[in-house]
Order: sequence, then structure tokens, then C-alpha cells
Amino acid sequence: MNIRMLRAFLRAGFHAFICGAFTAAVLVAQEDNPGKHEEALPLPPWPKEDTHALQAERSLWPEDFDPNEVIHSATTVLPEAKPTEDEVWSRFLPRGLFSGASAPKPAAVSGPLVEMPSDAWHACEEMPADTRLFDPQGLLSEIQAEDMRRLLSFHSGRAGVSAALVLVDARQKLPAGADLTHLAGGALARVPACIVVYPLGEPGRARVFFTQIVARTAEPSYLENLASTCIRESSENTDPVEQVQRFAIQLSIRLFWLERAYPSLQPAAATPPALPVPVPVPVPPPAKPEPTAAVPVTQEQPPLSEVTPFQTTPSLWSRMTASISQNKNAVYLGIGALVLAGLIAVGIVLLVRWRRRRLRQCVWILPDFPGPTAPRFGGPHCGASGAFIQYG
Amino acid sequence: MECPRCSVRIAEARAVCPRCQFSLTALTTAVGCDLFGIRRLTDEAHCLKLHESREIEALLEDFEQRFPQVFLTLYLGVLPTPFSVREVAFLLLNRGAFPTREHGRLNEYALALVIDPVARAASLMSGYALEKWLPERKLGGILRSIRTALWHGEYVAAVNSVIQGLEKHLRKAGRREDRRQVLPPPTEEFLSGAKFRLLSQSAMESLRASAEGQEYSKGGEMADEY
Repeated sequence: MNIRMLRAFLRAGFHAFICGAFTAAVLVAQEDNPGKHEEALPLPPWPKEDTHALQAERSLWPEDFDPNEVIHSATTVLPEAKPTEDEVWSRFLPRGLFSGASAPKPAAVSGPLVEMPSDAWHACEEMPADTRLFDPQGLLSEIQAEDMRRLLSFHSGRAGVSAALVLVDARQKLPAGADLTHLAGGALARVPACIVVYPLGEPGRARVFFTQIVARTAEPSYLENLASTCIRESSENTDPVEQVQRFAIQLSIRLFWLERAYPSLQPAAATPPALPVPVPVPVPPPAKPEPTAAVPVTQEQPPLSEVTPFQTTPSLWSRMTASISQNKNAVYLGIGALVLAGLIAVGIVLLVRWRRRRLRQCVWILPDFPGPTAPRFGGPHCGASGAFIQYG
Repeated sequence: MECPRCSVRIAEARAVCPRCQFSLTALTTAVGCDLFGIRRLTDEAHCLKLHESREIEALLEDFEQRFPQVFLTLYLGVLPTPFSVREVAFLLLNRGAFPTREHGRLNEYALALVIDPVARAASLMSGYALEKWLPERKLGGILRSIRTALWHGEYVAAVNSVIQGLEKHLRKAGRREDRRQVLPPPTEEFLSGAKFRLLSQSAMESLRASAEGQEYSKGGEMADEY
């Protein structure tokens, strides 16, 4: 019995070893070649008689077309780099059409500012006179630029103070010799206008300029508040394109309010000169734009006045921090003066208390009475020297 | 100076007012008493509450401790019609006695503040020794500073202001000394045991009786009948 059981046990063990070894070999083979299953199921090839029959019936198949080659090549190409939908459409549409809100630009990185390309600036100078959006580098997509252009044109058509937007990249600045009066052939310098140099993605660096007729009419604090409000409004969004749209909308609203506050800036009262006839492109930039009678531009007075928006920051805390960072020495001096004044006040209080305490511990001895004087009214001690009041 | 009764201005020392014949002798005759014991506070008008009396007593005691030679007495009383607060102050300073056990205080260094709450009149008078540092002009200024407090019946504040004004002028004249070298002020026990007649209700009654029996006028016609 024992021998029989031993044989059965050895037989079962041998069978189990064989099955395990086979299973392990299969698994190892599958891991080494994962595409073996796909290759094991090829598409059915087109027989030659069928292809000849289809070509003979004048179907859509071109001549010498082998559908097997297409199927074979498709099986090898499809798993590789598949172009995105935007890339496919970008082969047929202008650049950046689908790169707007769906793919926002990366946030501006800190680094030194570089100048805007000179050819881009020259392009701004050579743009037509009715241009209000200057985006020579194509920072906005076509649809966004068109929306912005329509907004600014609508504003310029209704408002007395035009709004113009010069877009630069996040870490760009205007060229060294750039003169904003040469924008659009100098057309903007001849009308009441507000020109904003806007770094895309960094609304805090936006610079706001007003022509002289606006700067002379409105109070500086009002213009500073206008610029601050626009920057604050644009800073409430993180998307660069959304920021510039918010900035432009708020700028348009505030410019309308500016006209209400100062009626002389309204279109009828301000009598701005009509926009010049659109200059054909290209237009050589005028060296010295001739000022009109309505807006005299003299050499002593620049045609544009820049408004620094952070002189009136929106919140008290930001105003305090900005002023502290700008006037650290004055702040330290003021704090020192306050501390010194407090110490002096405490010293005075302590001195007064000490003097009172000392006065309580002291007595005063009057000089001796020299002697009897001539009595008055017969009084030996008092001669009726005193005062009398009626307080009723 | 001015006559306490008729307020006539007298340039030189006179024993009797040339206008109304006022003198100390006539006054003491009318009152009927030649010597009074003076307390710091005498409230014959009963216009002070208990805590006010204590506060005024404390103020006066502190004043006496800072100026050991000087004492200030406060008399609050409704005076009979012919008598004025100045006459009572003159009488207190010349015929009053401030009893002390350790050392005496001369009446020449005394000050009397007499207030009549009904007549709404107040007088502040000083002895001969203090006239040099507390002339009539300064005493008048001190009295004018308490006019509002007196009108409102705030006697504690009024006395406090009077003491501060007096100290301000007396400090300039005095010599500062250590308190330990000066004797303490008289105690209440000694004052109660003193054999002095106080200027109290009985004295006022005698004043009224004398005033009712005699037709008194400030013109001086009846001055001899004192």
C-alpha cells in the first residue's frame, strides 16, 4: 500500500511540474512580446480578383491602388504620434486660432525685460490712422484680436476720448527710441486719446498715457484712479487674454465716465478734429507730426502725459505697503520719532508723578513775621486784606 | 484795602473807617464775644454732606502739613442780614484762635474763607504776614476761579481749587524743608478739649438778636450802636 501511494504521489508531482513549467513559459513569452496577440489577428487581405473587379467598375479607387498597402501602413502608423486636433486644423487656418482660452499662455516668468523688436514697433508706426489695437507680434489669436479691435473701434466711434492698446509680450518693453506720438502715423496724438502700453500677462506693468487735452482737462487724481481701476479689474483674472479683455472693457467704461465728469471732453463739445483719412499702408512715419489747432503741441509740453496708476492704489494696505517700500527712510524716521515722542511723554508723566510725590514729602517754611504793623480797623492780626465775590 | 462793611477804599492804615465808622471793637461788641475757637471747617449752613466734610477736612489738613505756619479755616453759614462775609472773616482772623498742642500758629499766618450759600457771597481774607505774598489781587483771582463751583454747590472742588491757588503762591515765598523735621499738626483730641468758645449757632443767634434790636445800615449812621 505504501509503494502504491508513493507511485501515485510521484506521478501527480510530475504532472504538476510539467503543467507549471508550461504555464511559466507561456507567461514569459507573453511578457517578452506583447504585440504578438495583435499580430495573431491580421486583417483579411484583399484578393487580387476583387481589386481588379473594383478598378474595372470605375469606382473611386485610383489606378494602381493597393488597399493592402494602406491597411498595412495604417496598422503601423496609427499607434505612433497622433496629431492633436489643433495641429490638424492649424494646417489650414491662420496661426493661433485655437490657441486662445483652451491653451492659455504660460505665466510670465521673472527675468530682465527685453526691448520689443524694432520691426514690430515700426509696424505699429505704419499702421492705418484708425487703428486702435496695435498687436504687431500676433500675441492675440485672430478671434480675440478681432473682438478687441471691434471693441476699441466701437468705443472710438462713440466716445470723445479714444482708447488705443499697444500689446507687448510679458517680459518686453518699448524700444529705447520709441515715441508713442508716432503711432498710426501720428494720428492718435492729434485727438483726445488714451494710449495704453500693455504687457500681456502683466497688467501691473501697464503704462497709461493721455494726450494733452485730456491731461489738462481732467484732474490728475481722477486719471490715476482710472488707471488703477483698470489694472485692478484686469488683475482679478489669471488668464492673460481675459486680463487684457477686462482691462479694455474697464478702460472704455471709465473713459465714458471721464466724459461725463468733464463735459468738455464729450465729442460735441471737445470738437476733436476728424480722424484723418486712412493712410495707405505702408506710410512713412512722419518725423514731426504737425499739431492741429485743437490740440496744440509745443516743444516745451510733451503731447502725451503718462499717468502712474499706483499713486492711488485701491486698498489702504497696498497703498501703505507701496509707500513704505518707496520711503523706507522716512518710515524709519517716523517710527523713531514716534518712539522718541512716546518715551518723552512717559518721561514727563513719570517726572510729574515723582515731583508730586516729592512735594507731598516736603514742607514749606515761610519767612518769619517781622513784627506788628500798624493795625487797620483795630485788627491786631488781620487788616481786612482780602477779596470778595458774589457768585449768584 | 477796603472797608469790610462799606467797601470804601482806604489808602492808609486807619483804626476806624472814615465813612461807616467800622472797627473791630464795634464788631466784637455787636457779636458779644471777644474770642472764638476756630476749627478747620465750620458748617453752620448745613450744606455739606458727611463725605464732603471729610474730604474738605482732609484737604485742609494736608495744606496745614505742607505749610506748618499757615492754617486755613472754612466757615459756611447763613449770615444775618446786616453782616457780610467780609466782616465775619475779619472777625474770625482777629478774634479767633486755632488751638494747637505742639506749637502755635499765629493768626497773622491765617486765612479765612467765608461762604454764605444763601446770599451767594464768598470772602477770602489773610493775616498781616501773608499780605506780602497773597495780595488782594491774587486772592481775588483765586476766588474768581471757584465762582462756577460755588454756583453749582461743589464745595469740595472749590476748596481744592482755593488750596491749590494758595499753595502755588506760597511755595514761591517758602523754603522747602524735610517733613520729618517739622512737628505734626494738632490732633482732634486736643481741639475738642480746648477751652475755646466756638463760633457756632449760639454766636449767630446773638448776632441776629443784636441785629434785630438795632436798626443797622451800611451807611454808618448806626455804627455807634454796635
